[in-house]
Amino acid sequence: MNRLGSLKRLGTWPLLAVAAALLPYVVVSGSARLLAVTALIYALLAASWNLTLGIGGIFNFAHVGFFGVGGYAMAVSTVTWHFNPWLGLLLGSVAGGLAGALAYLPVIRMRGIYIALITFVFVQLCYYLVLAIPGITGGSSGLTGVPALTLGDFSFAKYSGLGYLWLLGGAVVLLLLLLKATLRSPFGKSLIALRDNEHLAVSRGMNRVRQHLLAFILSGAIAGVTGALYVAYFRVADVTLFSFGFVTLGLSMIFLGGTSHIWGPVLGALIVTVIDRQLTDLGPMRAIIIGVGTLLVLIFLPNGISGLLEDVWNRARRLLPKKQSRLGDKMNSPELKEASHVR
Amino acid sequence: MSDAIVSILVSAIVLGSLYSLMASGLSLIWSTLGVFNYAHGALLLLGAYFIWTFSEKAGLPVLLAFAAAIPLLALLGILLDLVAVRPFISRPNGTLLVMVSTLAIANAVEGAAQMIWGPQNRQIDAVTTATLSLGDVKIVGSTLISLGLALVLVIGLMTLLRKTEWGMAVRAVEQNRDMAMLVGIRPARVYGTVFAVAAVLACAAAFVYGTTTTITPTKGFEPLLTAFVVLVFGGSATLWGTLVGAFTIGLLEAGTTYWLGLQWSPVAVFLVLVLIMLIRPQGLVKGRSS
Repeated sequence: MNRLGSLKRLGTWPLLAVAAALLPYVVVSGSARLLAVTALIYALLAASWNLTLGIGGIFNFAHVGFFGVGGYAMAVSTVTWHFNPWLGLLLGSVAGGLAGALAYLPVIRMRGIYIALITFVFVQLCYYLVLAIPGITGGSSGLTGVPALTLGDFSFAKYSGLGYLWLLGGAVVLLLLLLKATLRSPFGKSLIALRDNEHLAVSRGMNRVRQHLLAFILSGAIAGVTGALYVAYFRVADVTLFSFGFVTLGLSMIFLGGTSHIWGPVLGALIVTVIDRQLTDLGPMRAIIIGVGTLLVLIFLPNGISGLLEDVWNRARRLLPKKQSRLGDKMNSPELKEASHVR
Repeated sequence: MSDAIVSILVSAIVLGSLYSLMASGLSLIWSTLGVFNYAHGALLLLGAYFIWTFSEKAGLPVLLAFAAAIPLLALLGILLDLVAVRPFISRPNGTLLVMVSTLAIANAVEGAAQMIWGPQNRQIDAVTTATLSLGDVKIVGSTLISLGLALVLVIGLMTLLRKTEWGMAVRAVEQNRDMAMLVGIRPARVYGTVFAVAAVLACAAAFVYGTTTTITPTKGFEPLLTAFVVLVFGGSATLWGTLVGAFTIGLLEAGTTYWLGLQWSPVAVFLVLVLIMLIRPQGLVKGRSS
């Protein structure tokens, strides 16, 4: 117990970073590395989506669109314009951020369900635009031959994607740190305030439109980089990036993991990716299982796994006799209080 | 040139009929429960496949197959309400949860359709091959049937809502749930019937859709999204608006398909939607908050 306590004081972040660095030594085989890379990409997608959906409380369904736009920015810039793939990553984030701003414009004066519908339409608009301008996007056959990321002579695709594992593992840790810092910053606090009590927040001088626009741009830029990384790893961009399956998969990750903690969607992404991998051989049955599974999670696990774990943890602690340490521990985890849905 | 205009008008009528049937069901659910049913396209898909199965496999005449599919769809509508709406509607963020749950169901239905009916193109036989000649212009009978079905059902729904006890109960729940309960209306039962009626409208839309185009398991979403655009365009408050919106969007889609090409028409429709949102959002949100 004592040792655990000192480990906790050390912080979980260095541990996470070490875990990310050691990941390629644990995940050795090619297929396992493919699975790990996919899971990490989804983790980035789900965690950045949660910035608007869970933390911001905005019914944003356009996130998959930002992901796809970033992916296409990568593919078009490297395949058609022969840019360096690292520049492609940068362009992916810029394009994702721009897409975020663009998707927010029509919904500025909307609330709730209308935002969900319009942002959903945004994804469809991307889908049809890609099909409508085949000269740039390759139409329904997509763009193939996206170059892999390289560093000097080292290609990230070598050794079954060793470089990607490190890059993505590091990116997930960085994103979690960034989200944590955001939650603690005035910006993050204003997002939560706007979510929990908009009238009060606005009356205290918060600019809802500006803060939400910033949240869209930030989460869009992260989703854009994620899409660019996805395309750089799989070396191809096509319209399935904007498909319904992607939207449902992403939402199931967020809601399985739970929206109340920044690590919830990451956990959800890892779990859903592993389950999804097991289901790929089942063909259409996979869609049924994912759909029904999502429904069951929504009904029986309203706060997701992160909420369940928190619940179990709190109950277990209540069973322990050490009363005075409880208060101290609680004070040590401000993000726990900040991120909870206190109304 | 007149040929072009006639062919545009004919496809505008078919599309408008399809969208008005879809959008009126969506609008009914939306105005009564305040949720958007993403599984409405899945209902359309199932309706089309049921009609196809009854007519192709069981050998029923198309109209009888359609009649046989209607009660099935009504039951599915009630089931949808029970599993995807009832558990969430009273939770905080209920509207978002209903959206995600109906989206999940839509995905599951797509997979199920893929398993049961396969990925092949299916088409329901036209009820009649007769054509109506107006001078040089020939109008196919099924176009008129689509139009008649849409007008009869949507105007019929308006009458039901205005004249019957059920309609009054629906409007009462829509306007003030608590007061409605005080006078003895049970909202849960009203919601169930609303979903059943919406599913029947989706079945009629499936009939129009399945007789005019081929269906595959992935084709439920397209008419759903356009129906949503119709809802926004026509205003969700009145079914008249829905009818006008449906045929306007149908005309827009038919026109852009003819002049710009098939792939541009959804882009044009969605851009119009975004423009409406920017210029006249108050017409959309008016009277309702979520």
